Amino acid sequence: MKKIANIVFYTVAIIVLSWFLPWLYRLMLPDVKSEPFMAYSPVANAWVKSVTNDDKTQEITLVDSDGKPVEGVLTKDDRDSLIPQMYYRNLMARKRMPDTIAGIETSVHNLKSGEMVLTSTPHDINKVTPEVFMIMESRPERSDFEDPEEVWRWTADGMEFIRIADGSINEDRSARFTKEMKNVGFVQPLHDFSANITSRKQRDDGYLLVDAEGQVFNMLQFAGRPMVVKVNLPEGVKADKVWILEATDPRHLGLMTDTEGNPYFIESDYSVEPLEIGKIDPRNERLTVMGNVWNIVFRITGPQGSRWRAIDATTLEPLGKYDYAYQESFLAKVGRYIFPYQLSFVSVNDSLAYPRIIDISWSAAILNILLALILALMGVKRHSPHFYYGAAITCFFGIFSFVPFILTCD
Amino acid sequence: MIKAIFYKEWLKTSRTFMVCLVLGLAVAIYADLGINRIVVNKGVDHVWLIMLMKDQMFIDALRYVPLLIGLAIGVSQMAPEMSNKRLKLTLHLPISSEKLVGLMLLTGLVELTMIYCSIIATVFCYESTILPHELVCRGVLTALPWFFAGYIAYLFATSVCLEGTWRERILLSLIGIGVLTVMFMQDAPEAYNSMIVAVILVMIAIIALTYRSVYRFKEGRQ
Amino acid sequence: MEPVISVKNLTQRYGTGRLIYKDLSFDVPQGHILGLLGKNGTGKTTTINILMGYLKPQSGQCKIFGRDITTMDAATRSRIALLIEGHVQYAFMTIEQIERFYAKFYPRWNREAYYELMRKLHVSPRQRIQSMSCGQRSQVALGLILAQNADLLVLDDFSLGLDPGYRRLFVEYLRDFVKSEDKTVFMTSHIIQDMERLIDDVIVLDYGKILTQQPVKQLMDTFHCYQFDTKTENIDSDADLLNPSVVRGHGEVFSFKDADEVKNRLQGQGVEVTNFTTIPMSLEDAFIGLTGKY
Repeated sequence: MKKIANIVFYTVAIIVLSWFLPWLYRLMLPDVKSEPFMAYSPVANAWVKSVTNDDKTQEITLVDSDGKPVEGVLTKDDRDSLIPQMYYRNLMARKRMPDTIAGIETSVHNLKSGEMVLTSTPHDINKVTPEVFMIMESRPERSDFEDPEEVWRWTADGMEFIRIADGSINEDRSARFTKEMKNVGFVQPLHDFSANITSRKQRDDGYLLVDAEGQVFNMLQFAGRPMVVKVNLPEGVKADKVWILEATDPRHLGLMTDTEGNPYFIESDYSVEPLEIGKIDPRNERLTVMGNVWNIVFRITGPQGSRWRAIDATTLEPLGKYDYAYQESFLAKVGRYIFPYQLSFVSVNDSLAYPRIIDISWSAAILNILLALILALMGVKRHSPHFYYGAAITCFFGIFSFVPFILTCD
Repeated sequence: MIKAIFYKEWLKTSRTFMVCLVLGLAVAIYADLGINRIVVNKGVDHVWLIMLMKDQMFIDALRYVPLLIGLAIGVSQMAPEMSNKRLKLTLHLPISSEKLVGLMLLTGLVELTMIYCSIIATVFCYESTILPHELVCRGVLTALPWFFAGYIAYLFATSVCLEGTWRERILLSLIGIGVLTVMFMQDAPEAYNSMIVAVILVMIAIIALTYRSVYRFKEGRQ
Repeated sequence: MEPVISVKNLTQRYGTGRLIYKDLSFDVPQGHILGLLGKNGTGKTTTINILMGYLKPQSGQCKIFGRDITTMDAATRSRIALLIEGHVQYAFMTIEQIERFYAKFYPRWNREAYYELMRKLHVSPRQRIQSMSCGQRSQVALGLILAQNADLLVLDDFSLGLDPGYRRLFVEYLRDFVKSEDKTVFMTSHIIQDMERLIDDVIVLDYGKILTQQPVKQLMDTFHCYQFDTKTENIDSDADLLNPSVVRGHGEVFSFKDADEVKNRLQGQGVEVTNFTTIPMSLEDAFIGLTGKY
């Protein structure tokens, strides 16, 4: 028992230090993840890049559609004219807005109708979601939407609708939805879903649901009745993630990625349009979509850096790309020689807590051996097996085991 | 003999137990009243909406209560053993030290379980009258790591109190703070679901730390 | 017959530093009362801690009732009554509670003996021990020791905090109890005059060594204090002239040798003595004679 107790003590100490020491070290590291602001200009057919310098001044430059910098620095006025999708109010106030840009009318109404915003973070995707789902009435009796009065859940028999007010089951609605889901061929269990449950919106497109076989369905509650439509996916394509858009322009119902990470727009006619912007890993990458009447810019941010992809808003053809890689700081490089690995329990990429080993570094082997030698020498000097055990363990766990073994020598 | 050990442990902890029970129930009732106030003012659908869309569980007041209760029971049970090295008396009792320490810890763990069950019952029995079982389970699973943290705090408190040297006491305390910090790192509901088995295993393993302190005491590291 | 306590070649240090004693060996036969005497810090409590399994000795072997103390089982422990330094007991219990608690562990528990001593305390049975005076707490601890009716009593500084009357009462009670029931006692005390009435054998410890180890009667018969007048100011100490001192022409020396031999040894050093007399000693005098005043 005494041996077990000692093993537990050192194991727990090593686990805690494997997390704590790298965490403490990271506190000292500068934040290297400040990125430029990128927008795609329908006027210049190039990127407008804004970088905030250390002295808080802005440096605005052009980057061509292939991501190569264009010489010269732009003024703020130049920038306003080059990205009218962002500064149209400013341009209109100063009467510098042309009537059309790239053949598209520049009225406020037209510009606003093309706006599209979507943000998806791994933090929001990788979390445990409740097994009950709110559902809105897509065609309310009055003009405004109202907060949901019922939720639904999956049971072995199908869908079950529960009245929030008293917790009772709405048998009629449950039966109708269950029948409808069976009719369209939905296969349980639910793989993914997306809905925008809020009464503060113009239109409700209901739920996008991905079933166990990767089929996509659009489910709405229309005057209390179910309306479920299957999305036509190309042969062999299985959906993985879906996002409902509810943009002003109803052309695109949603966005999806397949199991390979290829992105598609789900169109309002329930077809899908593949997007030539490369693969996306939404569980590990942050996705921001900013659309306007001229172009749609996808910004995909992963652990190594960000990439921007612009496509034509009408034809969905690729327009431009730009990649930005994070630079590893000197202290972070030094850290690789100190810590043989790092233990983390949380991540910016999810809302979960579990142990994960990151940054395994063989470069720390030198320090491991050095620290093990120190313990071994102390063992020789003090004739204590405590240090020999410590030395053996320190060969693998380095500084994480050296600290407890050196601190507990009697 | 076993009864006598429970009797002694109860004599040490009875006051703290009662205070902790009252405190725990008071916080649990406070959490219930918080939900009830929203139900009365804005309707039960508002509670559901916030729980489902905003990941709010309305039990934040409970977060550190099990931890404090664990520490209080641990200290009240083991500090008297170490004042004037009274542990010598206990270890001299004609019962194996393994069994003895086991019974002492069992008393504390049973007391904690009684308090924790009362808190859980108070909060979630009320919630089950207004929420579907999925949300009640979500609440329980969200709060579960806090209660495990309470058990862990108790076990670290006992091992720190029974440790005879200040250096090891400080080390054990720092390790304990490290382990407990892990239990409060992520606020999202049900964030610890995949770790629950691991946490239970850690909890069982760190029982050994209390034994370690007693073995060290018996070796004269006082 | 196997001794109740058997200690062989016990060596112990403070940590890795100062030697407390080296090769300490002694036996305590059944029915004997052994007193371990020594100044503060000579290792009395350390010895008790080792015997009771609260300290791992550097080397040596200790047996109680024939069992190695490192593997002492519960049954053996139930035969030993332990009074720890400072008469510490479960202070959060009352007189009644603590009796009820201990009674469950010891099949030969003598409830009457405990309450007989408690009646002399003039405290309520429901009074917590922590609210009692130091002396009263000591009496509760001693009452519990006697009630346990153990075969071996290990008493660390038993007279601490007791007033003279109760000390005398306890010594008489204990002596009677031990002798009538053939109990064995291993004890330490600061107040040596109590020990004289009680103990059969004595071990006197000094810093790092044992000064003497023998029956008290033998010690008192063979160890002497000599006083004399002299003009010499300094007398050298050796194995036969222990702790010599001269104050204003009056000399004093202790020795296991007889008067003539001591006189010769002094003269051998060139010390002229007159009025050389042998002084009767108490155990306390003998202790001081062996260990010195400082």
